[in-house]
Amino acid sequence: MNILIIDDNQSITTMVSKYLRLKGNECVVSNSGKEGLKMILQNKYDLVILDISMPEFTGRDIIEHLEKNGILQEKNIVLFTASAISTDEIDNMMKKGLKGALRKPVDLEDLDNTVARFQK
Amino acid sequence: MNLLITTYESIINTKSHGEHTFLANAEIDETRQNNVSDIKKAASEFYSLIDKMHALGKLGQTPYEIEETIKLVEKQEHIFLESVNLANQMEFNGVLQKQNELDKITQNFMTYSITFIGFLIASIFGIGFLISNSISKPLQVLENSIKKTISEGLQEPLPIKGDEEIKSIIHSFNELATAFKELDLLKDKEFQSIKDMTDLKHALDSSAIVTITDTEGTITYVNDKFCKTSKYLKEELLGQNHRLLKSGYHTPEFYTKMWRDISSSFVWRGDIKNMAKDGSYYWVRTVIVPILDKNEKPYQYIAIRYDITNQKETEEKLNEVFLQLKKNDKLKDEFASMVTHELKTPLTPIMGYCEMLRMPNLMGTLNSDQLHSIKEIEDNAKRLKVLIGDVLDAQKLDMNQMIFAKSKISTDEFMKNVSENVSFMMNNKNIDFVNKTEKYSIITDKNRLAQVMHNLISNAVDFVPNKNGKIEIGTKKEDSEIIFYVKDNGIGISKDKQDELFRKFYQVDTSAKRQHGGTGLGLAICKGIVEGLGGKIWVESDLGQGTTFCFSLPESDDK
Repeated sequence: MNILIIDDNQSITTMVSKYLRLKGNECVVSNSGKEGLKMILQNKYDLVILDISMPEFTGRDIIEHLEKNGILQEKNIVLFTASAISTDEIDNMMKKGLKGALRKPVDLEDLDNTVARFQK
Repeated sequence: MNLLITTYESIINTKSHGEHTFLANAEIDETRQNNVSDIKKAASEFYSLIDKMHALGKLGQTPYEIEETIKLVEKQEHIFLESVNLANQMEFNGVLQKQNELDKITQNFMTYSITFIGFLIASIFGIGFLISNSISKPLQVLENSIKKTISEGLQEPLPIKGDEEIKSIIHSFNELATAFKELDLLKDKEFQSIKDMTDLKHALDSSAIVTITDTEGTITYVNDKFCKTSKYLKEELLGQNHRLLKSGYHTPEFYTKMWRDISSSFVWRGDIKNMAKDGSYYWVRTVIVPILDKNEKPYQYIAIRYDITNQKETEEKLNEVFLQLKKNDKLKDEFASMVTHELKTPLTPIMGYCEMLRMPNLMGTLNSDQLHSIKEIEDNAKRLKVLIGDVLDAQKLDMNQMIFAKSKISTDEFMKNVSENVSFMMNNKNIDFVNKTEKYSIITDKNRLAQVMHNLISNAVDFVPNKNGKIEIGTKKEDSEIIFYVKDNGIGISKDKQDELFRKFYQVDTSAKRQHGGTGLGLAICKGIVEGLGGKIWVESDLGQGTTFCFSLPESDDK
């Protein structure tokens, strides 16, 4: 599987990408929101794991941009968040095309299950 | 009576005129003159009697005796007139020989006159006696009583005695005395009310700041307290407009409304910030009372004020503190979510790597020591994760921000899941664990309810004895509520500590804290969640008796 991980915390992107690679996936990472969005727009990924709280350009901004352009649905995006984002807000985003959410710190089992959902 | 006197005088004149006419007979003339003199004398006495009778007549109603006398006098008058007519006739005829006849008539008149006068004198004495009895004596008593009243104050009412006239006077006097007595009482009352008013004014002046202004706001009266508070002298205030004290704190609308109220005869109440002479400010709690004229229009305003500067300052400080607290709350909220984020973020790779390391065949195989060390790191990371979650939940409950996502659940299914999730704890401590749940339907937040159950069960696990520990969970129905319970055979909780249990950061004792760990947030969070879900939580326990935690939730209407 071709997976993109966007998180400003390098420690997290390294750990997650390492795990996912060990599990046999192809992983690319981005530590900035803007760069991440560019990559989403230019490439096609089977799954995008997106952090919400990033400086300057946040995960919310990316979702908003994709939604405005009507391509959120096709982008297989799963939120990855430690901040107190309400279930209401997540539900709302899911209605617009978000595919799921992972809470930090994440159980690797949860991560496996999420990845499995997008396995062709 | 006047006619009588006039006629009498004319007769005398006639007689003196005759002196010249009958000059020839000197002897007769002398006798006649003597007679005339006698008549004059008698007439004079008669005249004075008439006067006296007049005087008596003026007293009012003529007494019976006097009336009788007057009748007599009138009779006498008639005889007298007759003799006058006769005398005139003689004069007219100029007949000297009729002199004797005239003498006889004169003599008759004299006799009548003397008899009459005698009678009259007797009558007067009689009247005098009667007057003395019926008028003078009661009058004397009356006079004495009046004098005494003047000098010594009111006396007992006088007995009503004597002549009708006098009775009426005494009666009037008694009435007057009663009226005076009432007047005296009124005067006393008036004096008391004036004293009361003075006392009231004294009380007001010594407690309140008082001013009086006219309808233009010009100060016409200030009391000492006003001068003291405003730091102006009385002379500097009288005649000045009250706006002299304006602080600039209140809006023009504030004053407009105040003037509109009081000029429409309404009492105005409010707090005013004024400026004293030295530029310092003071607050006064004010009541302005419009004083109305007979047309119900205000003609002056009395303002009663109390200095509330200290109170206002405290209020302002409290307000500041309150605003600061609100700001703090917001900061706390922001801080909590920041802390949550910042603490959870580093936990993600810690826990992730631990899991990866202990997974067989992923990053190589660890020996048992290495595996045990990784397990310890992971367990502590997990505990940290729970603590962060608790702090965040407590914060949410505090700020009333916890959102519940309710759905319909079945108690038996729910509790089966819970049991499965906690079974590892039971196995670790070898606890006899029983689930006695009955099937009910409730609408609730399944995740939060699981959090409560997990919390209570974890507590029970911590407190049951290491050997023969027993935990029973279950549900029962009471009225329209479903009671969930977690029962253990632990050390129990003394009654006096049970109320404190659900307070944040409360630990039954510090040694227990060491032994059992925890933040002291668990039960507070359980309470917050249960109450948020519309239920109640309580504990049934005693020292050495084990503990049962119970909470109720409303049963769903549709089953």
